[in-house]
Amino acid sequence: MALVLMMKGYLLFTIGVVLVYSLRHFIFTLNRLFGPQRIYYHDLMDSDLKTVTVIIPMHNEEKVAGHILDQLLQADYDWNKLEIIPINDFSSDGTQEILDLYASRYPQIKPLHRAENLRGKPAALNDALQVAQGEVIVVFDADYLPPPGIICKIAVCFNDPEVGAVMGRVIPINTGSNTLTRLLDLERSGGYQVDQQARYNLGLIPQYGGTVGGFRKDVVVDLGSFNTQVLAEDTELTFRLLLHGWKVVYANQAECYEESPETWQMRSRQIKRWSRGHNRVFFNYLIPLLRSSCLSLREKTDGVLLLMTYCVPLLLLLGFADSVALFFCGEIQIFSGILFLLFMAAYTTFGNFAPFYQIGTACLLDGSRQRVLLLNLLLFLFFFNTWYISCGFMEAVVDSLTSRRVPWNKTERYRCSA
Amino acid sequence: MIVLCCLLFLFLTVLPFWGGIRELIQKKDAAPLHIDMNYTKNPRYFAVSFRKILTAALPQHEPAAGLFSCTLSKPETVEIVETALINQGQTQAHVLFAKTSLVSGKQATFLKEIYVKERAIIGEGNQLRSLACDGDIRVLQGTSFTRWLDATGNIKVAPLCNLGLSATCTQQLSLAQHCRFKRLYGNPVTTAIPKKAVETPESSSLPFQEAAFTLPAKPATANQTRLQRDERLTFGSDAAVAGNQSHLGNIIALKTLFLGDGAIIHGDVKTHGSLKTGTQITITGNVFAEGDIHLGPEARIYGTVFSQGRVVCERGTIVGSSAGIKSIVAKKGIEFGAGIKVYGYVMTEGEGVVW
Amino acid sequence: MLQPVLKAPAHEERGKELIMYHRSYRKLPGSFRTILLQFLLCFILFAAPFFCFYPQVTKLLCQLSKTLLDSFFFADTIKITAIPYFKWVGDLYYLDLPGKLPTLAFSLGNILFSLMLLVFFGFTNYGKPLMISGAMITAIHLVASLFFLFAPGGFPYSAANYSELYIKQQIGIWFFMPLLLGMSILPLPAPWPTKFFAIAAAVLYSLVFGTLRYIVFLYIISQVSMLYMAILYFALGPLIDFVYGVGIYSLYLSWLLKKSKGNIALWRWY
Repeated sequence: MALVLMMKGYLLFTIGVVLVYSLRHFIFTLNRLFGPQRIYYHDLMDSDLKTVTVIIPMHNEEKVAGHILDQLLQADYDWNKLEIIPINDFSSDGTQEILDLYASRYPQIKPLHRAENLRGKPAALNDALQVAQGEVIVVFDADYLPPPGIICKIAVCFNDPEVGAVMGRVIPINTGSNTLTRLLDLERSGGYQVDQQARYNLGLIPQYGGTVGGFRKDVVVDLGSFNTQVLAEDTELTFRLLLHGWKVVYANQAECYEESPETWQMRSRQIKRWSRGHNRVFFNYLIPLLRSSCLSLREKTDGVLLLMTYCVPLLLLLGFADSVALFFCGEIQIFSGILFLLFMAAYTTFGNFAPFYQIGTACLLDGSRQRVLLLNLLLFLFFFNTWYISCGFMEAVVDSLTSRRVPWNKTERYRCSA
Repeated sequence: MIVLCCLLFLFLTVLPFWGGIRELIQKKDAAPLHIDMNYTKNPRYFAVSFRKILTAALPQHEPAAGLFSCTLSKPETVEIVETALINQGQTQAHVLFAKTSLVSGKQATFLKEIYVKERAIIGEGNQLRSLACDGDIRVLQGTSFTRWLDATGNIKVAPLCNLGLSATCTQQLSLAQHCRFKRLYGNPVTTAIPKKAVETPESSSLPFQEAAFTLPAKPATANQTRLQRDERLTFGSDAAVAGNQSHLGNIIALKTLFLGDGAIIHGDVKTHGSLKTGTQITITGNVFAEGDIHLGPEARIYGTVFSQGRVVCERGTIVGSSAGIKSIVAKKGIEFGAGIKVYGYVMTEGEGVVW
Repeated sequence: MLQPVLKAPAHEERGKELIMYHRSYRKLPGSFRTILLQFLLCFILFAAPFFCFYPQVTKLLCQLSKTLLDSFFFADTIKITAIPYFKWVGDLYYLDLPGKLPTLAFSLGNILFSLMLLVFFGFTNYGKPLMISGAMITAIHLVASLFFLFAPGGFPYSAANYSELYIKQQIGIWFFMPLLLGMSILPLPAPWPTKFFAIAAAVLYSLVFGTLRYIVFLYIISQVSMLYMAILYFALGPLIDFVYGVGIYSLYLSWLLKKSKGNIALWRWY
């Protein structure tokens, strides 16, 4: 009897959690549609912008290395204040040769070849920070295609003395490749056009995403650089900055193309890695966040919900198992009427980090038309995400308990090399 | 009957997926969202782009006078003239290309774009769409633009003009009283002292003395401020820097910040509320506010001014210096008093107005 | 109640007609008050009637189902039963009918089939999300099959219980469907009659679908096997209701986007 009560209690708790998230995202949607939009600093013109180092971590990126360097060479930033450091991180393909070729032609490109110490993005970034000359560090992943004006848009926010990091908008370039990329495109739209912008509007916590973004070098170095034990170094940096009184801002107009994963296998690895890293940050930063004197109550509330993002799918999965167990215990009556419905409603709407109305709103704002018809198919992505995020959570628990070193898995590229 | 029910049930179960599956197969909207991969920020973008399109569409480098049909953004008729003299009350229906200058009388209306190669004088009460000029532009009282005006020389605007979405030039852009604007770009953008502006609108020299461009000396005892929160001056409530005080380092106020008369801040200022200043304050860095910014008379800001609310600059405010470009950007509106000088860019999504 | 899409732009917005701004800071005109009023109207028109008239609706549903299922049963084994629900509104009606328990061999066969499916889902890399969804549903069916194999007498529901449960759940769906659709559709920049038409379409779909599902479910558990109760409940239950709810939302939004293409007056900036 006590067990059944506990199971019912847990289910009510799960319903509560998903309802809180559903409400949160509904508020974000309404705010993005009708609320005053907090403008970013992209309209500022300033001839005295800070010096910038663009860092591009690369591991076996011969397919895309030339593309991103060509794009960056078209940047409209003052070249006396700009340097580019592509990091060849233990590459075994032709990445090194490509970088050396570019370096021989363009003195602004200063490759950093790594073949010793730790592998992985955080470690590579730490090494690059030691040689970077810029006051501001801008990071792009190797598969990104930055437009000429983006560095200026990213760097200008650091005129604000309170800004510690900035995040731009990621737009998939291979949207039409297959079903997965089309669904990820919807997910991205909802996440950036509505979610990040609404959080910026409402003075909550926009998240630094580790690419198409930047941060102050001296601040990050003073705070101990990147934690090589954490896979989600971007989320970790977001919270570290917040806890030290810095703000993260979101630049919706600083748009940059990326390449989405094109196979479900690659996506499963990516999302598991995100979940594993994000949940480590959740374990490490939940208490410090709640105790912080630098954050307002609304920032703390949003911070907790943000930290829990990759934990909720596991709660849902357990809730699902719980409901099945209750069904076989003959206690299904708990659901009769509204409760079961609410649970399922939240369940299906929250599925993909963004509920359907949030993604629909993003499509509306972006001026897309037919792609909104794919919303229903996100149902399958939801089951997929729930499973692999839950797996990532379990791995994060083991990571925390054993302090084992986490391997860095690179996302495969699909573009044809130049 | 039950078989029919089962089939209908199955049909209604899969029907909701039909739209998505059709889109997956037909790929009607499968292209990535468009990002302009050639875009770089240029305050004179509209005019530069128009000049480029028109010049490319014209038949030769020195086109003969007359009417000429071509395609700009859509099919247009371009009227090419040596010197354009538009009479009082006349309506110009075509795109106008003046090889030398343009002079218009009172109440003229221009329904299409204008490109003038030398000098343009726009008469009182004119209505224009857009004007690009490769020399100076002088706009007389009560004229209104719906889109933009741009000059590669100076622009001088008489009172009561509406400058549309953008007024830009490579040299001085001077505005008289009661002008309205959204975006301005000039080196510098100035507002004249009302009395003199009315009497002698041609006057090229401004009636105030600009403060020296050298930064004020820093207090000798202060340390260099580092970008760490603990070392910043952070106010948790309404706060004030007393008059004639000098502060070295950035200031971050979580509510309203007051700067007393003659206060000097060596650093950036950020406030989550409003910023209000007394007379003759100096800020060597940038100014950011989530609320309104009210700069008192003769304020001197060496950096950029940014507000999510309104910016009010009282008489004699100077922003930036001739050494570079700075901006005033305010989401909700900008108000300029007399004798303002801004080196660079002014922009609001609300309404800009000169008192 | 006029919607902004039909409005002429205000004087201060005319400039925006002429030069298209970037998508980043687009927003819509409108107020939370208008949306709230529309939401109240939606509640009064669509949700409240289901709550007020559920006795009549459920009775009609049962009568229709009974007519269709009567031929499969002996006289008096299938009957409409009334139980108290909300005392201020009235009784709730459901069909009382006998279920069909699975034989041992049938349960065993389902176990084997479920296990084979699980192995297939586990080892195939094709259509991963479908496989995961399928595996979750199959796992539920496996548990149900095991239950009937080892404790057939312990299964906690009769067909009548299930029927009652379904009706209660369906009332919830009918009540909440227009509210969920209202939350997502009403903020959109469209004339309000079209929004209410879309919500009405969802309600109608829900009525037809809910009725058909009731008939099909009862037919399966009474004529095929009660073994399928769990899988029917979890796989084709309220989850599917949200699928068509979202489907109608996406169709409506797609229509709206097509209709408003290039209509700059639709937007405000910042």
